[in-house]
Amino acid sequence: MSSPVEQITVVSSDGDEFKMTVAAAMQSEQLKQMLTDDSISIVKVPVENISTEILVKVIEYCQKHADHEAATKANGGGASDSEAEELNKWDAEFMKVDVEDKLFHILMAANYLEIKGLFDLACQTVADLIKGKTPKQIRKIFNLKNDFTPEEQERLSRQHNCSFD
Amino acid sequence: MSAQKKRGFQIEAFKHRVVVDPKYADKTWKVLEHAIHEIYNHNASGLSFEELYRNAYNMVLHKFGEKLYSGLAMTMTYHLKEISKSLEASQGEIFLEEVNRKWADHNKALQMIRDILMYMDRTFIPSTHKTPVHELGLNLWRDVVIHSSKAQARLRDTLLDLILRERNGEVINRGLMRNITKMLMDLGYSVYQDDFEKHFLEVSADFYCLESQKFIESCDCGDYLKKAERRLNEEIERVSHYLDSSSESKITNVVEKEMIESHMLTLVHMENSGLVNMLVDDKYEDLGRMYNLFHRVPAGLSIVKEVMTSYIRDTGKQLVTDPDRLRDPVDFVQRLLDLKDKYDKIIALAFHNDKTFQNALNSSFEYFINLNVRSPEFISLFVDDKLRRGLKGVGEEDVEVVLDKVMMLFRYLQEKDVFEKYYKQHLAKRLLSGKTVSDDAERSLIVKLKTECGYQFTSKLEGMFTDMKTSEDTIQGFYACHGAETGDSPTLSVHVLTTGSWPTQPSPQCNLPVEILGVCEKFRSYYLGTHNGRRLSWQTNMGTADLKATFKGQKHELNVSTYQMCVLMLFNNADGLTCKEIEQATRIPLSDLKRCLQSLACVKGKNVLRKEPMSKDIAEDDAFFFNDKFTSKFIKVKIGTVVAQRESEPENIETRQRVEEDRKPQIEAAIVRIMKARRTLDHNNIVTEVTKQLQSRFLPNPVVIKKRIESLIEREFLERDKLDRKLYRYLA
Repeated sequence: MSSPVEQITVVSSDGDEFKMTVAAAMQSEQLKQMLTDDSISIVKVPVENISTEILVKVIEYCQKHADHEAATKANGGGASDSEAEELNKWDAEFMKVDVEDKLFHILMAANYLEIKGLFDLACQTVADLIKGKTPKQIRKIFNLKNDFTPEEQERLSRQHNCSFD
Repeated sequence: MSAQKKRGFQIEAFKHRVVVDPKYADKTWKVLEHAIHEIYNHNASGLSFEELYRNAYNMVLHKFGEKLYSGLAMTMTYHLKEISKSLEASQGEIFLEEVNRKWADHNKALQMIRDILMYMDRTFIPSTHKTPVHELGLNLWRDVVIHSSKAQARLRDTLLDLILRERNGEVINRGLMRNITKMLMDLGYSVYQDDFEKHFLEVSADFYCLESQKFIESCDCGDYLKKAERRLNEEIERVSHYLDSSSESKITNVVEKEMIESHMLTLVHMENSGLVNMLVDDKYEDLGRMYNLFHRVPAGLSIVKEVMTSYIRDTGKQLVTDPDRLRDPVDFVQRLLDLKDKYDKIIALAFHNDKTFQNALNSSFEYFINLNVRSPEFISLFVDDKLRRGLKGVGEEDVEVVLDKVMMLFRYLQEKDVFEKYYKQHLAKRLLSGKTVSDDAERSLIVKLKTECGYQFTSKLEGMFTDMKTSEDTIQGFYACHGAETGDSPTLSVHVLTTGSWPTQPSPQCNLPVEILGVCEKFRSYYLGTHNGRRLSWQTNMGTADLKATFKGQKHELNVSTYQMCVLMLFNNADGLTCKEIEQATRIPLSDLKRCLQSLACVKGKNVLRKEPMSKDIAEDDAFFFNDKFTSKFIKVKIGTVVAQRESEPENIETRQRVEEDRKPQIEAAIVRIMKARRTLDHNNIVTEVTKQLQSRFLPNPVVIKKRIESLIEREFLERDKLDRKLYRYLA
């Protein structure tokens, strides 16, 4: 077991360095792997997929959840309802970001670093955005181009018997 | 518009063209391939974990997982082939060490590779159901390195060779062995079994088969067992040190089978050192070892038990039928007890108090004790001896121990009623002659008998004790009343016996000397005065007397039987008398008289009478004279013969007859009891039930039972069924 490092440094693709506590780092499966593996000894972790902006958000999430976990443990296990609700509220706030800009990037970062909680949260957010919307609306939100040819569109609308407006 | 739900249609996959540069995939793969090479070449330190991880991640993300996976397999295979070649080239001893080293390296490399490819492991592989990276690495190792034709055989042979060397006494590198077997286990339990364990067991079987042959021919039983035990322990130790624990039971089975099971009978019956010899010589250690080893083998212990049982039976049988032994009953019983002690000890020390052995011992004893019909009598005599003098000065606990041992023998008896008869006789003699060592011991034994056989068995015996006590009180009362008058008469001590309780012996009245008659009559009238409606008769064949006799030398006090007293008192008035004259005067029955005279005249040191002629036999005309010249060291001389002795043949037959007579009513009572409850029963069942009911006292003879049934039919207690001759019915 490597000597306990209180903090590790993460380096974004832009080259900026950020400090994370070990507890926060453990939220990420990948970072956890690196920390507990003897054959890899690191103090500075480059994460070249992730830009500074996103990295900041990710670290914020990790820290918050790590603190929450520690607090629950100190209270002896079960999270009280109010605390869980509080966390959920915080999460909701956290996800109110510009869709084009950050949402997917956060999702990808969570996937890369294997931060389950954040990944699920992001996916859920996307799902919520899609729910109950027409294709046109969805395209608008996510800024997607309609790449069906008119023939395809016609065929599909006949097949599935729904409007694509 | 709501989302379609459960309409069972398929959404076609979007034919979305993924625009990714294929060259990108190649580039990324090259980086990873290079990394894998470096890892295998022990150059991993220069690599950036994060970079590689990211590369692998990107490949999978952009749908190049397949390329990554197959690339990985190819690269690993390449390296493993290299390793396999180098192993083949290694010489002799080094082979195993090299295998071990390369295996450790491979594991380390595999670990690193897995960490790098973690993303693929977690996402791509589950969805495509491919083998995970770690397992893939193990499988490749197994297939390429271990199962390459030469390596497989070489590995196996090397391992087996080392084990053989260790069995022959050499020291081998156990740590290395451990690592190799662990490697095989890691590759899969079936690999361990097929590549190694199977052959190991085969080879071991051959080895031990040979070795056991060698030992059997050269060692005696005890040594052989020691060697077998040693080998067994060795194998267990071997497993714990460098084999997988699942092999333990398998290899011990092999050793047990080859070294023990195949040679069980030979060992047990080995001349001069087999089981019987061990038993005879009390070889506890060897016996214990034999027990432990044979315990592991099916049917092992039953052979030991069989042989032991038949040996005990033979020994016991010899003991009870040996004519020399039969002359001394006390010694006879003591030997039985010693035999039991011996085997109890063996079973306790060597056989772990195994219940089945204990039972075998018990049944053997039961068998041969009852072979000798006089066993009940002898046991009673043994007890008599102990209670007379054997237990003198022995502490209370030790007394209990001896009595418990006697009870144990008693339990083996089938004819307990015979024992009862003799015990009564002997007890009577002891009580009347006041010769019991300890009243407490007597009572203790009665209590034990009562616990064992019930109240009925001991009620009469207890009656005897009560009589003794009552008599004491009576005599005290008598002298309190009539003390003054009887001042100068001989002092009388009377035991009043209730007829039913004491063993009856018909005793014709003899003529008591005048001096005695007076006080006897006084006692009689005293007693009948206080107890109405009873009849007293003097048992002259059971009493004793103390006489003061003056010889030329000195005065002596003689302790004699009543008969002897009558005879001796005659010589106060006559110097010489013939046998016939004595008989007429005393009216003692002739056979008793002859015995009496013999004891007075023919026994050295006790010849207060002189006999002419000086022969042992007594003829009617033989003359007897008071022997003035009698001398003895002791002032008090005991001549009475009231000691219990083993019966002569005719006496024995007589007692037997009486016992048989007594059994008849008991059998009848049992039959009536059973029939009353069952109403109808067939013959065989009656016999079974009767036997069961009476078995605590004796074993009834079926012929006798049949006779009793017929007698009961005659007396109209039962009737035969009209249709079925074998069925009986109870008549109310």
